[in-house]
Amino acid sequence: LQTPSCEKNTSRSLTQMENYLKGSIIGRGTYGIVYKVTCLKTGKVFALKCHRSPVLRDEDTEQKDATIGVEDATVRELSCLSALRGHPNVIQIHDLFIDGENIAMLMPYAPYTLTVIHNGHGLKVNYDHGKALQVIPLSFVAHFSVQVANALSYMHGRNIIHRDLTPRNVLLTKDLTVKVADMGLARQSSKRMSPNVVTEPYRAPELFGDNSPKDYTCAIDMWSLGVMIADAMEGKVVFAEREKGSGTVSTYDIIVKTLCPRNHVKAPVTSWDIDDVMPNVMECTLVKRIVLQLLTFRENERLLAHELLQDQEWVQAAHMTEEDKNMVIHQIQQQQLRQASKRF
Amino acid sequence: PSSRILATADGPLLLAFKRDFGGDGESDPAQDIKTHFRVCRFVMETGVKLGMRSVPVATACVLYHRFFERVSIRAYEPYLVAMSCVYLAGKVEEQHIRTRDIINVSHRYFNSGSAPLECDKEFWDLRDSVVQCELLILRQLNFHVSFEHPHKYLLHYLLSVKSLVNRHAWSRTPI
Repeated sequence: LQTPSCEKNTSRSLTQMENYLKGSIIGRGTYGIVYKVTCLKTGKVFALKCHRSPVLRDEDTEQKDATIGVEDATVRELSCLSALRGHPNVIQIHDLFIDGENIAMLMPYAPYTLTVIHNGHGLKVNYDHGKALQVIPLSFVAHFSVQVANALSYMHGRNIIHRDLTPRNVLLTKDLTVKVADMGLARQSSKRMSPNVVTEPYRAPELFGDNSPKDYTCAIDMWSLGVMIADAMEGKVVFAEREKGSGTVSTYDIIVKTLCPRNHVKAPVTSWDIDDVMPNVMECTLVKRIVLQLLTFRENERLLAHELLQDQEWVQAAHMTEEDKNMVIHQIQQQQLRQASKRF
Repeated sequence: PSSRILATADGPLLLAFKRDFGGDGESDPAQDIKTHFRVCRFVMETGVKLGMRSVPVATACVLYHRFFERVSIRAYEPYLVAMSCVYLAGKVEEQHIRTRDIINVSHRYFNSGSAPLECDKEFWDLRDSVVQCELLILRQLNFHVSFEHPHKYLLHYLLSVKSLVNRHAWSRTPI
């Protein structure tokens, strides 16, 4: 009797897992839990991503059409991460622990995420006395977007689409190097893919609509990048669902009202002025040029990752001085303190 | 080889596999190719019966071949590997297929005309085998499970030799 089994290796993985001390939870999602772990031998800090363990032999799960065995997200994440190994702006995977049905991935620990751009102000804080204080330098906006574009051009060159690019999934190391993470939705591009991807405010217009499988391209990641740049300029989630007048306006409606060209079939009756939606973006000529090229309604007109990297003016703007870096790190730490105090 | 029958060796033969090779354990490349051909035909038939699109079916076949590039066909039951490949391909290509359906369709493939499997221990054992084998495939392939399909090159090749093919035969080929 020969059943494929991983018992032999389980004991090995367990002894390896014992070398790491589980610390606080640093992330939680539908996929599972991310812990901060410390290596007992070297004292180095890592992140351990544990995927939710599926329940075997559960009659309920069978009826609910649930996944058994390895989760889809795990299959995707591991296959993409192994294909993208070695890129400086993509998160690396150090080790993998398999314990029966559970899979845990050991990755480098990144202390910050790009959510710092949602500071509620944008680049500058305006005080009562009329003096504006810069809180996030423009060079940081260019810096992160160039590094994300770097990772994307590498991924897209290998035909892989990330499909969940949001500030939460863009990690920053201590010296603010970008690490694109969470490949749970990433996949090799093909025809007829699931449209239920990307967190809503970062979702490209071609993904909205009915639930049928759609043909889309890596341009959806570029849209997400464009929204992140706009977010950073405005200091908030630009395309978040909002209350206006009597009802709520959905992300898709905001996109159509602000960015849909007049000669498009989906052109709205009344459009909104883009200057009201993203005033800070429109104020700066350089950012305006980049963002409008990324947020084009038609996917085939959108700037691609390698094209963005060829934009000399933008790449030059991405140079950060020590002072700029300290400013951003200070902001991040302030924000982390605020969040921590909110929790208690 | 008679001992290599899924997880349920003591129960009545769940899937009455035809053993295509002798019991000596010596490798015979010609025989192996025939076996792989039969198993891939099984994958395709199963895929059609399960209503899978052509890309996931192609993925399942590639997974199957990649797996047996790494391990001996004598070490694992090819049809079990094929069932797991179908299941895994569904996950990779976002067309999720339930293990229950795969098992039922496979059962029908090997025992045509018989009643579907009861939801008893044999069924659960078989399902566990499929799930465990899936993890084995993932590990053998180092989680490299999404790839450029060789089929698309074949498709172009076929289209380029279209004019050499008997027109009647071509019209009946689903391309």
